[in-house]
Amino acid sequence: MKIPCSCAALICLCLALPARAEEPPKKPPQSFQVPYRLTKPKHILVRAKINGKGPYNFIVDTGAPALFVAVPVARKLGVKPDDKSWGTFDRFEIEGGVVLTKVKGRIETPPQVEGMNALGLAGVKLHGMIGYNILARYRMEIDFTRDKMVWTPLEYKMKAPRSLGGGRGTGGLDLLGTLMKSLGSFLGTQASPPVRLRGFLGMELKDDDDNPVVQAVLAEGPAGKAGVKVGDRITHVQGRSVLDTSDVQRYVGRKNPGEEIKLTVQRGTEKKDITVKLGEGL
Amino acid sequence: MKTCYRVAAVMGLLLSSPCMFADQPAVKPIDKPAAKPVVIPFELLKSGHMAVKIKVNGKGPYRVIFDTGAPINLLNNKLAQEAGLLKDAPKSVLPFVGSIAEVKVKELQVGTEKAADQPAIVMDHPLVELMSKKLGALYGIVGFPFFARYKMTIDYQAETLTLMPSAYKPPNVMRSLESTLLQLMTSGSQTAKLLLPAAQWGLTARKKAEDDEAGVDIKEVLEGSAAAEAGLKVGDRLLTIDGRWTDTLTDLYEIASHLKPGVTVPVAILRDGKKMELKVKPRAGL
Repeated sequence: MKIPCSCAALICLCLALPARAEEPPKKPPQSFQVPYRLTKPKHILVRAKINGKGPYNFIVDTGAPALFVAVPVARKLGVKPDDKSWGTFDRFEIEGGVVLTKVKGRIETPPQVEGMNALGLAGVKLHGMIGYNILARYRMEIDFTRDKMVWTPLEYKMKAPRSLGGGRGTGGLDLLGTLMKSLGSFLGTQASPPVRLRGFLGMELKDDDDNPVVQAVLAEGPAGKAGVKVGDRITHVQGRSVLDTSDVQRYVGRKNPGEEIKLTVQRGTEKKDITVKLGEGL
Repeated sequence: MKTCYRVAAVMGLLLSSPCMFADQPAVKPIDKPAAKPVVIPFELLKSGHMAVKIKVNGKGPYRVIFDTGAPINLLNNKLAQEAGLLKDAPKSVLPFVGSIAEVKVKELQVGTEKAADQPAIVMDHPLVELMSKKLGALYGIVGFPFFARYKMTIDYQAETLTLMPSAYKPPNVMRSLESTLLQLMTSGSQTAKLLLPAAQWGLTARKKAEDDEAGVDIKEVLEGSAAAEAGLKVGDRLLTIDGRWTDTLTDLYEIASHLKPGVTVPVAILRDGKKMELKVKPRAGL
């Protein structure tokens, strides 16, 4: 049971799409360091701004024959599709400095993207895919031990890919996308989960033998205002013993900015409880 | 219908653990890789896809799509049969795709590069079948489990794929899906993702609701902090950190969660309408 189920979910994660692309090449001058993230299902995600708006989330996909931009995004940008669902994007900027002008793309929400968004499978809202008609202009170095790709512009003559003809069959994927979408609305899931920002203390810590020790206190920061001093050895947070800085991180992470947290410190021979109101900041 | 329902149920279960960067590169790069890069030619299909030749347990060659957007390797039933992959594998039948099995390929050879123990799904993927009819026989997709093991260079001009082994160990997507599943059985809905800055900067930032320009405003810089030392000032517009856009507070915290204490990073700001770059070395603390 487990296997077929996971498989079915995976079908939707494979982004190969039959379509076509057509686009003359442009040549920017130097190499670009393109930051990326891996999504939960291991897609290479980059961010892009279109006509200065965004950023939007795109998957780098050699299995996509062209740039795909989700319909609602194009609508928001006021880019109208032609009768074959192609649109022209005046400025397409990928994080890291890659800028393309007058780039053509399909204005279409692939069912896989729709399905993943509905169920929050990627952990982030997806807005499309970057495929052949953009990727072919760069030599792309992808190394998962680094947090950035290297894209070097090529003098590439685009071999205009042909339509596969016979319409855009999706072989049942659209149905699966719809299924995932309706399930997602039933469960009330969001494409990207809500985030919480950790509260701020304003003190530097160094791990010592048994506990972290305060190295510096920012005078105007929450810890400084509450009376934490350099040299204080933090033994407990919220009554739980802490051995190193990561323990402090973890317990502080359970509270939100504006909430109070109790630090127990050893100062010389004295043990003190200090209540700090967590601030905003980092 | 029953199968449909169960498939849907499982998909529904896949949505917890919102840790979207759980699999950020965690491995150190190899200092001096002993191996030489392997250059593999690919065929650029008329559709714009990359096709490569593979051998599966010595059988083949088979023509498949090389797909950076595929989290799994996919092989069709014909290939699986010929390569003897289906002997002990439990099979199931699903709508849209027919017979399905999860297998381990002892040796997957792409061009001249051989990879051992590659996970693969045996399935007649509807899109691959469709493309096969239009573009000549295609037997599947090579994806993440294979290419993630390499520093990979894709060059559409030379029509080559260059692979150099890296230290990255790709997690098994099937296994992680299953553990996500298990986790969901016990928890349930999506939980808020906590963004924990990995180091202390000593600043606060703000972004007004109606402000949709690039960057965030620096609201406070604490005296004596890393931010102050770097020369950041109240009112500066923070545009990028380490080449990544900081257009929202979420962006800012997300980036900060990956930046370790003691490592200097470039920060681009706008001050009085002028672009500047500063260097910030965040400290250990919170």
